[in-house]
Amino acid sequence: MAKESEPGGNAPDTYDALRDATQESSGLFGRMNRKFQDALQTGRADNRQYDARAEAADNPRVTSDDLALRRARHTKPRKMVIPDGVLIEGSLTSGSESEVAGRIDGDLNVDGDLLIAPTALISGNVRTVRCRVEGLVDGKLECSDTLDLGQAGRLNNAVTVGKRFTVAGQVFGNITCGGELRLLASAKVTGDVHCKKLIIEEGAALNGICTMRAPAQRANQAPAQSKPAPGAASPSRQQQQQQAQQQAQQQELLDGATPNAASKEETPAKP
Amino acid sequence: MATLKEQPSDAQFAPGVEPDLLVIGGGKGGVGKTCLAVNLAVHVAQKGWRTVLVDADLSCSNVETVLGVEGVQRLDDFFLSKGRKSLEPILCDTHFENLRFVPGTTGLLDVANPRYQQKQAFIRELRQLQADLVIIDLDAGAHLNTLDIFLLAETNGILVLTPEKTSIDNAFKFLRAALYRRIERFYQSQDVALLLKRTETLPAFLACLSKAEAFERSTRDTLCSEILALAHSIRPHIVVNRARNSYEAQIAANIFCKHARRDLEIEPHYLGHLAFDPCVQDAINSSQPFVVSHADSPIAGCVADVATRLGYI
Repeated sequence: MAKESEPGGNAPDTYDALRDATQESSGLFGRMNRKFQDALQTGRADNRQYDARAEAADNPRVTSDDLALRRARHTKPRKMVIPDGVLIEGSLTSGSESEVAGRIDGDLNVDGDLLIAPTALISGNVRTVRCRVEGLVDGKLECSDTLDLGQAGRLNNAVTVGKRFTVAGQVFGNITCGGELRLLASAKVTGDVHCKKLIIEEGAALNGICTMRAPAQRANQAPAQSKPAPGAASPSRQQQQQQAQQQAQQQELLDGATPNAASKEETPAKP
Repeated sequence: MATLKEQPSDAQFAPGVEPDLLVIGGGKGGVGKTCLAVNLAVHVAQKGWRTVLVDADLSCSNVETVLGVEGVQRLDDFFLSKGRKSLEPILCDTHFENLRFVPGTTGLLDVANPRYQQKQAFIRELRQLQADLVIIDLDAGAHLNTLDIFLLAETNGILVLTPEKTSIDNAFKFLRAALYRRIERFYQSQDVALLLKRTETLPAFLACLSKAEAFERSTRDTLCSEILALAHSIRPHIVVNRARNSYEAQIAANIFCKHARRDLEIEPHYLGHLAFDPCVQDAINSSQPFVVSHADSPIAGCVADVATRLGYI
């Protein structure tokens, strides 16, 4: 509303006047602008006008599941933005580019690019295609393409990346990377690493076991042992052996990490 | 979210360590079980994992057609042979490195219905194979053979479905049949089997059980908690095939998960989707997996995503 002290204090102050004002320009650019603004504000283009009543066609058995399945095929992806100050409880799915700056108390699935802003806090698992993380993710993070972890970013659980993972922040969990893993100078990783290619810049910290060989190569390099006679080694014994080896590895990991560094890194990163 | 496979360690690849069994089923026919099994196996093998693909479709096997390989010996030989059985002689090499293959049966009536002990022996032999991963392709429907192999593998199998109501419904029925079969095999009691046949959902079954006055109260409570534990032990992966976009796949998976959670107390895990792609048909008709013939197609990327989520990078 216009204040009286301002110049033009007699300006109209009703919603009708506001609507008329926005529709004033009826020229080509005005119409284009209006279309653009509509699409931007509502995220709904003309082709997205659904009529639940007509679609259900008086059939009492039609449920929201049916309509959702029916509509999903024609749905065009829109950008999703979760601003700071928004809390979402439950899982969230987006079919396209997304930006999260708020708090999500659940899982997040994004089929596209995802930006996790510095203010973002996500307690569940995240699955996406390409991702940049500046905030905090407590759950597992899966990225089928590339993942960038910024300096302010922190991941508290296992990370799986399909192609390239660049780390400048902190990771507390195992990293599995199908391609290149690059640890920048500010990176701190506590957990085992399995990747195809590893680049570590000076100053980066990595506490964990690293494996890089392809599994088939490892099988060939394993000491030649005859296959145990059928029934000779019971599954329980094999499991015990495996457990013992895993415990030995964990012990190695604990021994490798200095106590000071571990206690320092356990404190949460400041936003 | 994916329960990622343990980080592969050197010890895991030493001879004598059991391979992971991955069963691919899904109730309805034509949803793409064989297609996923073959292409996932070829992709994982290409990544360097020693993989064995098993055609456990006991009535209508067609992995050979999709893979473009013909086996010499078949699964019939395994089920019909007397005495100590081994799968190693049946295993045949393929023209893909690290991938071996167990051809399916010829569809003879005798073999299409092996006894429970034969199925147990089959799974036991699969665990003895020298491989990192064994992918088992099941047949359509919810026959006892299919269910037993699905349950005997004792891992989180993959259920394939498409974003259609019939497919979601059939996958649900398959999962319910699998759970009921597990409960039936666990108790091996006629009464339990009879009660199972009359209840459509697990909560209804539990309600019936808690009212049954034939048992004492403490016995009833124990039974209920045991059955719930049996249900929670099944945690299938979901792959949605032939989805036009990921949103559609997610909606189909959500609908399935909702029903499984509500009616079976099972929490499935959505693994990913395979996009609708006409190249799949071309690949099948040319007897080549699409991850080889159409390596750059979007659907090949989807298979790679599924493999990554399973931990095979």
